[in-house]
Amino acid sequence: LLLAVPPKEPVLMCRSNNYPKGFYCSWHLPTPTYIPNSFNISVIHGTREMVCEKDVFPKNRCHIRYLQLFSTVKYKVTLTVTNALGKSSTTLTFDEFAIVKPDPPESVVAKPVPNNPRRLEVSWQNPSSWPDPESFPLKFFLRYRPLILDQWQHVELSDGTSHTITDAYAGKEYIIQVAAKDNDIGTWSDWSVAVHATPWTEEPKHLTTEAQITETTSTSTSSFMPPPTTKICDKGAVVGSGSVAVCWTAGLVLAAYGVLFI
Amino acid sequence: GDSWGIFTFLCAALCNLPALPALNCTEELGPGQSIQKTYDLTRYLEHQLRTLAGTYLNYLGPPFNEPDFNPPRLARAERVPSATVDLDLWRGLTDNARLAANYRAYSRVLCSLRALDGQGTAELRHRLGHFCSSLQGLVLSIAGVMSSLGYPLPAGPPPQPGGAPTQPGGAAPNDFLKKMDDFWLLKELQTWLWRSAKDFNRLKKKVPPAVVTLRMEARGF
Repeated sequence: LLLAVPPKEPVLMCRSNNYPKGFYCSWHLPTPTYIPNSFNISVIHGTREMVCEKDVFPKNRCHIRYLQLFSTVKYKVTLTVTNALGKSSTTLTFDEFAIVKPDPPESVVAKPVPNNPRRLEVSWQNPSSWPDPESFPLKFFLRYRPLILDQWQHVELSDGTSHTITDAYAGKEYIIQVAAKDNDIGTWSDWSVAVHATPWTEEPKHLTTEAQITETTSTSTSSFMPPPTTKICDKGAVVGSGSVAVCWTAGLVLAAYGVLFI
Repeated sequence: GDSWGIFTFLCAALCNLPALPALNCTEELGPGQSIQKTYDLTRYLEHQLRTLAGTYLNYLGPPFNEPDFNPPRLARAERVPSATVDLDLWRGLTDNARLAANYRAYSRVLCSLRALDGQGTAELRHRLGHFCSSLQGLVLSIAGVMSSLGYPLPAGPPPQPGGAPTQPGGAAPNDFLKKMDDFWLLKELQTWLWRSAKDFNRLKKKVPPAVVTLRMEARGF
């Protein structure tokens, strides 16, 4: 047996993810009432009452088109929930600029760069809901870390939809995310879907084995001895100065990695 | 940032062309560079305004310095042309009209802020003075862009009747109404600074950043 109750104060949120087209508001009840509820939303801008068009889907959502841009007057949105036992309302008041929050960037792709064991190439697209990136450009925030570490590294990018990470630890799988923000106003989007990538490694079998043995040793002892890099290079059958750089880098990276485990 | 790099590269490339021995590559700002500089100035002013706004509103006192103070707009003579504009109209503005609107607005704000000179606490006067200098720089920067694109500067603000900026009707100045005007002046200024960022973004796209102004010396020609 469930007892019907009057509605509690609803939760209301308004956001502009498609600036300068307009904004949407969405709402929900914090606790169920167990009987049907009706929602009424009013939007007042200065002396004018505006119509918030209800979306078909999702249900508890409506959208408004801006008639004017760069307004000094705030918007006042009031949501009233009514059922057979009572009603409750909540109001939000905000400036046009304050609610701008784009959707996260789309199609994030991270790829290794051939012959570059410390690089990862990341690219993404503007969120498709952002209508005019030419006049209203977005800036981006990239964060990345190897799966095995907790600390993120951050890069803020003021233009372009790609970036090359140049300080990745060789051979480690990375997790990468991107967020977007209007260049001048509003707040950062949520983080994009995470993508995983591992930098390019040269993988002759014995090179892998050497690395694995060294790693096992480093995790079990408190004082870490960097592997003799010359040994790896000798057996690696590498050709050319570029590859020597790879060997040295691999050695240094492993040393750094070992230091982290002390 | 990037545009400086392009500018320097082009300058260097052009100066190395053997077919133009008399070319003297000077670093005069083309309109593209001036637009970037003006954009940067609006961002700097917006940042400065955030600090000034607190002091300014505290000087006006309650209710003006309350965070949720949201008064209706009274029908009074506007000291500054409003930044608010119809979306399609804003999109369709010519470069000249867009720049002129910015120029007029900031000139009027500068005038109005200077009229506040001598009022308020020492801290407010100091911050206001600093802000007005930066605002003056912005007005001059916009004027520079306009003249480099060949546009005439809009005429100065019309002289206010009765001398003082906000005296409609000729009645004795009402302290509350005057403070209300000052409150809206601050809001209009804030809104203009947000709008200008978008105006100058649009201008940046339309005026190529690598327009280089070269001075050809008469040597060898």
